[in-house]
Amino acid sequence: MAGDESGATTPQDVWHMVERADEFLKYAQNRDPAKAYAQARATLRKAMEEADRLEDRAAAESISAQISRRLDDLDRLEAAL
Amino acid sequence: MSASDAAARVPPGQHLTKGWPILHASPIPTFNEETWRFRCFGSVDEEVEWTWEQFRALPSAKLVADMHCVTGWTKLDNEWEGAFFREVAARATPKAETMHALIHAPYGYTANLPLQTLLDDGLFAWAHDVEPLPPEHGGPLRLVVPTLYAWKSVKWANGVQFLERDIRGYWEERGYHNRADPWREERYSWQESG
Repeated sequence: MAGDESGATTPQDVWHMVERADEFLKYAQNRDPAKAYAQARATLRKAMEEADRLEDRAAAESISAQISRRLDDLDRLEAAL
Repeated sequence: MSASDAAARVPPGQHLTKGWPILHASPIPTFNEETWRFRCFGSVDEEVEWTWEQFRALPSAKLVADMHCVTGWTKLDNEWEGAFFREVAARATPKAETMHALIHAPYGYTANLPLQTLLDDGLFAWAHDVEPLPPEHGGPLRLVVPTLYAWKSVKWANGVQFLERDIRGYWEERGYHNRADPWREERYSWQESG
């Protein structure tokens, strides 16, 4: 993770993790969907931990809401497998 | 085409792909020609619904265009065949106040676009490079809007909701840009205020 000049995690760093999870989801149908969904979920959980540590609380809340929405999406997708 | 000609057609932050990556947010829906329907609803004088046979009878057109995915790849010179959005809209008669549309697909996938962009650039495609559009790429029918990132080019399109006020679609609600112009690198919603 890149971090800012002090080495602290930035909102952009966390968002890039969310994007990575999105890519697991988008490419899931080419691979093993269950495995891809699990990778997306693990990435999102890690992103949530990093979001909780952000000093910018407004950014943290915004990104956490996006992560929660995606975890709900994964629940629905996994239920449909 | 020279390398420099091709490079000039690649928006910032994108790279050329020779293949055609397959990516989408949902499983691939099953196509049943007998039960497939395409619906126009919302801000219209009267709702319209077409069967597959009726939709395929719309005036057809070809469009050669580049495709830009927000994940970073660009695929040049796609030849699409289908019905222009304007042909669909002409039959759905949106109300004068209509300014936006939400394109619908199975599993709750949607993408929102300005009506004018759809009228100018939108094509509902059923063929790609002279072959029927394969299911993994959105067959039997996908929207193609070459001027925007490809998540706006909804795969497995099955309806248009005409809107007087904008409603964000699936990825637009999940932090991606509402307009999505690849030449402006409009990838994320936080860029919208800038």
